[in-house]
Amino acid sequence: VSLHLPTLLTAHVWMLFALTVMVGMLWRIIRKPSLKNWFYSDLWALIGIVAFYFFIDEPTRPAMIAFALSTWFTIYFRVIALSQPDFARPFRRVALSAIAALFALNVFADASLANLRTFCNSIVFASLCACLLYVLMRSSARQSRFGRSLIAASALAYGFAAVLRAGHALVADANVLFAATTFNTLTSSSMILLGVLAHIGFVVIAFDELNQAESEAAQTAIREAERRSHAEERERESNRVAEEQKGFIEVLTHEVRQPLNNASAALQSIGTQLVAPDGAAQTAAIARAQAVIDKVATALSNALVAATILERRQQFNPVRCDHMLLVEMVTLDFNVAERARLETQAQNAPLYVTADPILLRIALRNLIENALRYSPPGAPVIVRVAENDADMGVEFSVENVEKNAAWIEGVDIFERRVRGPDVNASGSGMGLYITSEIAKLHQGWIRTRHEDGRRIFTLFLAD
Amino acid sequence: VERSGPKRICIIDDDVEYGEFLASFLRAQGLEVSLYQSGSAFIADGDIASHDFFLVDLGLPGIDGVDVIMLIRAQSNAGVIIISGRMGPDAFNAGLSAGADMFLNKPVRFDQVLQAMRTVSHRVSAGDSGVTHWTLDGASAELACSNGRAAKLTPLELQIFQLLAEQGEAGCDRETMAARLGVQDAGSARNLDAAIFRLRKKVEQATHRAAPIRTLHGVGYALGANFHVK
Repeated sequence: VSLHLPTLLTAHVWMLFALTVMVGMLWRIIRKPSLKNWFYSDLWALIGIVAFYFFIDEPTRPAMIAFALSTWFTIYFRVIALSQPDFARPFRRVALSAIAALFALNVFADASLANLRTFCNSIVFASLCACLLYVLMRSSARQSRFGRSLIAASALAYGFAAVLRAGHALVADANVLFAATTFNTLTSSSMILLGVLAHIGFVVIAFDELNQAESEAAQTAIREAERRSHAEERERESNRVAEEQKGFIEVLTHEVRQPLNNASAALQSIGTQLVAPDGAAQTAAIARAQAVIDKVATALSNALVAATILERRQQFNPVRCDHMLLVEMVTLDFNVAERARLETQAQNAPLYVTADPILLRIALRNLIENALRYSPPGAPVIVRVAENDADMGVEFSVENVEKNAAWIEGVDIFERRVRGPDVNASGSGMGLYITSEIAKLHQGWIRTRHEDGRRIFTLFLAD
Repeated sequence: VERSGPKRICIIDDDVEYGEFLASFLRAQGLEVSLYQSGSAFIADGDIASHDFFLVDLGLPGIDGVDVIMLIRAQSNAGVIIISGRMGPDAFNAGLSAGADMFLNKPVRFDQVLQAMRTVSHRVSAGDSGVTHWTLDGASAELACSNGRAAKLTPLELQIFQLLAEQGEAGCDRETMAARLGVQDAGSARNLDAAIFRLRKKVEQATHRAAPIRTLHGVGYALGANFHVK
């Protein structure tokens, strides 16, 4: 068999050149699974060429097996490389086009074969491989790992079987024509040359793509670092502002609460001295003034709780407290007229619950104040305390006759700044929000329901 | 305040106005009141034994309110109520562990002070003032409170206290407790929580004091202070 040696040698030189470039870049290539596998495939292709050279020289069975095996491994690593998700799309297209072109050339070369079986084998092999590769190209990026493995495995299995069959047929027929027509012509040299060129193209694209990816990654890292540092700066700034605001609120509440406490004390003092009948008018005026002061104090307490304790959870201090005593003390937070409307229902035995007494006082005061505000003047408000053995905790419920039946359903009244149905009633809309936050802090809940014209709020605290 | 209740009240508060208004309110109720503006003034000329009830602010100039309370407690079983504008666990816990009977957070109304005094003096007259001590008697399966009352314990309840006493300050996590006590419920500690819930209620109903079991949120349980094992 006479081979067109200069062409074959030129092809090998090109191949070696490509290989050198690739080995030089190996340290970069192996960082990408697709490139690494493509490189392994190249090594096997090289072995395949040598094996094929021997096979053409003398079509023996060992040479055929060596050629078949190396072809199998070449295809195996090509398919694995192509099925890697990191394989860039334009790059995959170029590589696949090159492979498809090689297969097409193979088919045309084989068309001149006299042996019909080999020709059929080649055609079936080439077209099926092309189909499988097409499927791979279309789906590998989107396929699951299992899907990709399945397609790769079927391509491999088929490729291996086809190569074996073709090789076997060739050996059996000892059809020297195959080698002579395929590789001893210009077609063969152009085929190899095309392969080498495809390779160089591949390497260049790979190199480009790696460079681009690296510079993009570097750019992204810089942008990310800049963004992070901006965000940190903003956060520091907003933390500083928040801290300052909290400080102001604390100062405000403390500075204002103290004189309010004293003003209230003064009014109480005057109120207790004015017991004569002619003092009745003054007493009413004083009671009104005191009610105003009490409302301001409550609002300030709520603001203080919102600004400090709820934000900084570490201030939360749950202890065992006698909640009957607590309810009693909370009712005393209200003035005499309001207190006359409150009716407490509870069992007589001592009841303790694990809670923060300061927060619980604020929560209950808010609920009672809400009930007093949204019920008709003089109507009673019932405060109930009951153990909830099933949920292991204590339930406080506050019940009032509803002044305005048009309760807005679907409005979350436990949200900040949402108020009840009576838009004319005063209040900041802070109370129920604070109460619900306090319930959450105690791993409890607050719910409301409507029953026969009465509104019932239930606060549950887990024990 | 009842006829048998305290008669000589001592107010220690650096807020002069509030102190004076409170004093005149209490005087109007027929009580004798002495008013001091600092801890040192009280120590200089106040006689602890001559008062039978103390209303103390925490943030006092010079000697702090907590120290004043400790001083009072060392010599007297009289009722002590803290009236303070301070919030947060530090003030609260320091005050109560120094031996105060109750903590009232300002703003507070005179009625509330009076009601609190009434409740505390009930306790005082029942010999139940100041710091509560607990004694666990394994032999008789009983938990005794320093106010003279005691709770009978079931074997499981006794085991709970013994296990917690063994663990000391750090307490015990719920999983370990459930496993050691054999109250596991398909891997959850709900049975344990239920047992603790019932135990607390039982102890509190029997002794009228908060049960000496602390909840370590999200972790487990620990014993309260002043718990002794016989």
